[in-house]
Amino acid sequence: MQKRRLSISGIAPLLVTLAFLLGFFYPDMRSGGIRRALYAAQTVPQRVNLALQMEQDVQQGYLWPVGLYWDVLSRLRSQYYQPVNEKQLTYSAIRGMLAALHDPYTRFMDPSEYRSMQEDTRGDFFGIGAQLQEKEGQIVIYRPIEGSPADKAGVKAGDVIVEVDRKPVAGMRVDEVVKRIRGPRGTKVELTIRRKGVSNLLHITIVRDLITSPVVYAYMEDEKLGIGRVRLEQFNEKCDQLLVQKVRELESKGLRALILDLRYNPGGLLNVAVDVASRFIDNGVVVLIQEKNGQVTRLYAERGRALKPYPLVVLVNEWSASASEIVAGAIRDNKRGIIIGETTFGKGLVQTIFQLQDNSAVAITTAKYLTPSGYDLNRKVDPEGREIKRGGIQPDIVVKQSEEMTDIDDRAHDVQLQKAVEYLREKLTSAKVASTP
Amino acid sequence: MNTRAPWRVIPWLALAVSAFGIGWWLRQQMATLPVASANPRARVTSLQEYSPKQSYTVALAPGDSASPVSMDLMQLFYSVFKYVEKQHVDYTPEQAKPMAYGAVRAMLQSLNDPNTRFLEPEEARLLQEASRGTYYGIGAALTVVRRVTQDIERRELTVICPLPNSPAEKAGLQPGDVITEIDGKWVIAYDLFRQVQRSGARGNELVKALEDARKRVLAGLDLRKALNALTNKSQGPMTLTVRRGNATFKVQVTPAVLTVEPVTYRLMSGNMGYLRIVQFNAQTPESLKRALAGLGNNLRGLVIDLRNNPGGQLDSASQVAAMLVKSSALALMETRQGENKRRQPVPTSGNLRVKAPMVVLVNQGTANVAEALAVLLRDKAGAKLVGERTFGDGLVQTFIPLPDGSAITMTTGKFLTLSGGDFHGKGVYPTVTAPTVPKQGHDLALEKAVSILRTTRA
Repeated sequence: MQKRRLSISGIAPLLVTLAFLLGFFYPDMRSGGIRRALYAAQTVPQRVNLALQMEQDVQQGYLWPVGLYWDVLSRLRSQYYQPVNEKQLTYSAIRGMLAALHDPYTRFMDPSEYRSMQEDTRGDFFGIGAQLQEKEGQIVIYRPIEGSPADKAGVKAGDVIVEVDRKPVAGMRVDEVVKRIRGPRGTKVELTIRRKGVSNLLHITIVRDLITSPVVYAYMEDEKLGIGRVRLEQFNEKCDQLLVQKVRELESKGLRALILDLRYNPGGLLNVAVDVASRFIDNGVVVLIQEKNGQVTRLYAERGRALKPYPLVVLVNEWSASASEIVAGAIRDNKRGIIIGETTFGKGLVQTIFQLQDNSAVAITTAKYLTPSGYDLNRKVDPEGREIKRGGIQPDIVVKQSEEMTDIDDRAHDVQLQKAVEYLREKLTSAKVASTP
Repeated sequence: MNTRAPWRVIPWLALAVSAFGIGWWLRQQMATLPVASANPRARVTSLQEYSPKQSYTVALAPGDSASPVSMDLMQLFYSVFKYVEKQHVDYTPEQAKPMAYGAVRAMLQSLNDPNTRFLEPEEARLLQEASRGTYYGIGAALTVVRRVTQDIERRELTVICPLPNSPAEKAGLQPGDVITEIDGKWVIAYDLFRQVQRSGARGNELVKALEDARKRVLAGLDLRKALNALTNKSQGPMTLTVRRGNATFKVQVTPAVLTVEPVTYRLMSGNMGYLRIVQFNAQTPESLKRALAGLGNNLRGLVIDLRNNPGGQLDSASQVAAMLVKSSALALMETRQGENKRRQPVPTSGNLRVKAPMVVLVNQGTANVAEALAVLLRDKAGAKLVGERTFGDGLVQTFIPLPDGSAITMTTGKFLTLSGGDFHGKGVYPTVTAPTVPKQGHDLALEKAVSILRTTRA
């Protein structure tokens, strides 16, 4: 008897506590079951903090985006003629708020968008090996990765995607189109493509596969004078080593001047960009990383890694982005070489993704790259997608690509390459004249 | 001993139940607490404080305070703002305002209701001036009409009516005209891409169509910009492309500043009065009082001209109604309460001043409360409606100023006639049909009205 009495008074307070917690998390359980309740329980300290912080901020009175949003939402809830979906209204409000920043990379992802983004980066899906870019409302192929399914199927840079599996893509965002192109390995996707200079639409069927990393290519453009070219497709881990290897090959053929071809290079890893730039700049700043509050971090070239100081031309075009722009900007600002081609894309931003309370997320541009001279190369657009500032790296010598050029290896029509070779020829021969007085 | 055990459990059980209750209650408190105590600026206003007296006020129903779900949403919004403020590389405090405006604008846009929108301070000011009778721009009452044709939703910028002596009237704009272009720029009225995709075009035809669509949209004006262009203070002459029925034509309009006299009157032969009410603004009741005094007490009949009257403030129309007809209500207003609709009469206030028989002139430019008044005069004072079918706009728009000078206009309800009739989207049919555009100086509708009054026994 003694024992039993003890057990009741021992368990009962526990039961009471449990009842209290049940009551406390009842709203969560009702809306999303036990998992939701557990999640809510986990985040209690966070939420209390947030609520306290919010209260403080609001009383200081400077947080009126929140105040205005809340004011209008309250009125809609009580007065609008039709019942409203407060969650969707809030998502729309957040999107509208972020759009006012004029930064297309700072964006909100609702729970389903965020989930599919996570799936994408986990690599369960396979693609065709072509990067896409939205340009003036069209979905354009940046450049098919050499040797990829897209490349083998004959997809070319600059091709405009009109349909995926015969469904129009007009008005869709890049990520939506990418989602439709990707799928399980070995399955087929059909693209309808419009190509400059081809009057009919092309229908190209591509088999999805694992995409292997791109490489560095080397060419000898003028054997007599020793003008070589290295082309970087993307800045990945192997890039720096391959670059050195390819330059050594060219050196064995009598390299005296170098063309660094960054056309169609969409960028990649920042540290690789610094490594690559260090091959050309022995002593100097490669890039400035500007963080919040104007705080600037300088990244310097790594000493002692530079190649011989060959006369240098960097080829760029409007598809050269991010890391490509960093390298081009570093070479120019350090007066190491000149830039030929077309104004580059204009993207030097770093995004960080923050997960939010309800499993939605927000990607925020937390830093940006400036060239060593402090030039912000970012393109700016207004909320409707119209350009406010062009951005990008402006070449020292602007050369528009010939309309007749069909492929990146079509050297006969590659007027940008021809200009680069011509420039270096002049430089080499005038140097010869100067050195033989 | 064993029999006593259940009794011992009861206090614990009671305690457990109350603990559950306390937990639940505490959670509710937590959910609502920050808003309640942070009240002064976050929940910037109570409704009464900021509703101007002349606007249509619907009281907040009890139980409308923050629910737990909304609290979560507010925290979500707050977190995103905080992340941007703390982390975004280009954020400056000056961006708080455009961000706030952007948020509210997008939120209201997502309701897909062209009449519910956000007004920046300057836009709000112009709208308030218009409600006092001063108009800038082309001087026409405009609205956005939604139409769905072939599964494509169109939102067309439509003229309700030109105001008297306005640039719009001089340019010959008529009720129902759709403005499709301003200075050659398309007023974006529907999803062009969708239309192109549905057009069945294939191959190069499709490519070309998409290309054209893209150019047209990029160069186009959204409804907000179009409305601003037409109600702007300082604008040179502009060319409008107008669709009327199946015809499309261009007109030149020179925007100006326009002050509207809300009521005009004249005494016609046979001791018949003619009274034109142009709109219902704050001055209309006073102006009407003067007009009725001017017409005298012994009228044999009164023609009330509500043609090209786009409506206006509910309060003003209620006072006008009271002067013209013996009725305790102008119309019914249907509003939402939670998930349900409720109907309330819109009370009239003032003294009856007209005893003579009446005829009311209406046309396609008679809209909103003017339509409601016409029906009231028909049903309660036996007035015949002469003219054309009315516009058919029965939505109640509430103008809500916000603390920083911006405002929202919002659809808060719908007018119904006292018998419950819904004229929104349909219009009110006249008792006697007559053409309302004067021909060779003859106002046929007015002549018809006078002849009806002659045969009426008071």
